[in-house]
Amino acid sequence: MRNKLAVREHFVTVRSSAKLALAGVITLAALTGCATPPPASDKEAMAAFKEDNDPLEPLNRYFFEFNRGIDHLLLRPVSEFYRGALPKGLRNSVRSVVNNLETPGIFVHDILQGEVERASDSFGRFTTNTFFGPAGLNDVAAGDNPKDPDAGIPFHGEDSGQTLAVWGADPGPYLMLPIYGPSNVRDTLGMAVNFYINPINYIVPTEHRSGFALARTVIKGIDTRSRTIETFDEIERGSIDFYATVRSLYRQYRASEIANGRGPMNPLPEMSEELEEDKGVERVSSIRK
Amino acid sequence: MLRRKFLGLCALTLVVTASVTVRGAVAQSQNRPLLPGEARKQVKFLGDAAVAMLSDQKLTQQEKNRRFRHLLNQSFALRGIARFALGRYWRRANFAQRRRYLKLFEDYIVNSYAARFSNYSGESFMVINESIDERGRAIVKTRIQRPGGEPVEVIWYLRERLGAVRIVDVMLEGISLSLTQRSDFAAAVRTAGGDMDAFLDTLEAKVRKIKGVTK
Repeated sequence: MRNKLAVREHFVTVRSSAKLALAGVITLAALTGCATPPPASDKEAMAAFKEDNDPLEPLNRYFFEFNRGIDHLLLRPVSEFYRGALPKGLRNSVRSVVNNLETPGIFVHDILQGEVERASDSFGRFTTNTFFGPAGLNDVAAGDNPKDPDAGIPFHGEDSGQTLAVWGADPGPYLMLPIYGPSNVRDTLGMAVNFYINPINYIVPTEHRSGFALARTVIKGIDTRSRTIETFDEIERGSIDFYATVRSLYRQYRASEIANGRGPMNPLPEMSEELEEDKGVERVSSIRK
Repeated sequence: MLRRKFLGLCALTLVVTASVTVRGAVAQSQNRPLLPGEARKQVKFLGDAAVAMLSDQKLTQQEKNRRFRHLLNQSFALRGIARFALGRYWRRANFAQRRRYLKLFEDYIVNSYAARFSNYSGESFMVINESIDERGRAIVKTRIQRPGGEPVEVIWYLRERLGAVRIVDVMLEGISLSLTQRSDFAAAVRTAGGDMDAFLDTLEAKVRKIKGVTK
């Protein structure tokens, strides 16, 4: 019963705006259309088209520009203010508290993925940081020691999109979500259910539940953005097609997150072939997820 | 007198080219697996040279760029990476386009990184380990420590070709720089309607723009 209420609570707040947004999306999709696939006779172009896996590219590019606008007007200035106004120790505490509140959910995902060791890491981190942090204010479990960076247990993230991937779900087409940014069909579905998976959401009263989750998302967003300002500026300055670069970065980053850092030893199995000399057949990237 | 010098130079070039080609043909068929420690040494050399160059306050930006270009050519399989980054469009490009592209690619990399030289704030560089895969290529793990910042793990991929051990890719947080470059260029060539000259003009404009930021 409480659960049902929570579901309703969560969606009522966004329902009216969601309707509007949906209408907007459909209109835009009709206006901008889908990416045109290359002729089937051009095998290489077809392979590249499939590798991009971005049939909604025109619409995605539209939202990419929209998000850049939002970033420029709101997220980036807020993040810069946050970075300028709060000392580093305090900002680290903010991140640490938010990470700690996500950790029970990460623990559930570790279990769902059959990662016993990582589940025990998450469990240990949550108890240690909650009691000795205290309340997650300091990431004491990570034991940051510049002399010995391998000591302690560093934070690791998990989410429903990753669990679905481990269970064998395909990522589906690439999506650029308004506000939320790069995603794909699988990760979008994962994001929708992630709210119900984190046990921490159930300890607050129903009426505050979605607000609690939203606040964490917003704070995490600002903190993360404040740590990536220069990096993203550099990527943007260096790339010719920023949209395509971000798409590639998102795919690779997700693939490495899903593999929990145990990805293929050589990410470019086909690269050596090309480095040798030109061979007749082009092989496209091995990275799909 | 001048003419004779010129002829001598031509002859020398011919001899050098011929010997490189012969060596290349031999190396290509064998592609020697790397020995333990070889790649590690190379990466360590690059890291130490880069830190020395960056922390030298007396060097001008221009001199830093020159040294960086030298280091880049010395340590990276730059032409191979450039070719990989262009993907299927490399084969369609004609000789002149390829030459122009290779030149631009080097300028593009040098200038992209040159913009970061002024940001150097005492980062230190440490090799963690090295492993060699079943095809004889080496993977070297390193850690870059910023003073007061979180350490960044960087993984370097090396292989031997034509008698030289060179870096073919760099990975940061699971992201391959070569692969990301390739996605960027592929999209850019497609936007140019597959027209190689149009793409090269765009690339040239980009290089000029990045250069403007550095100066």
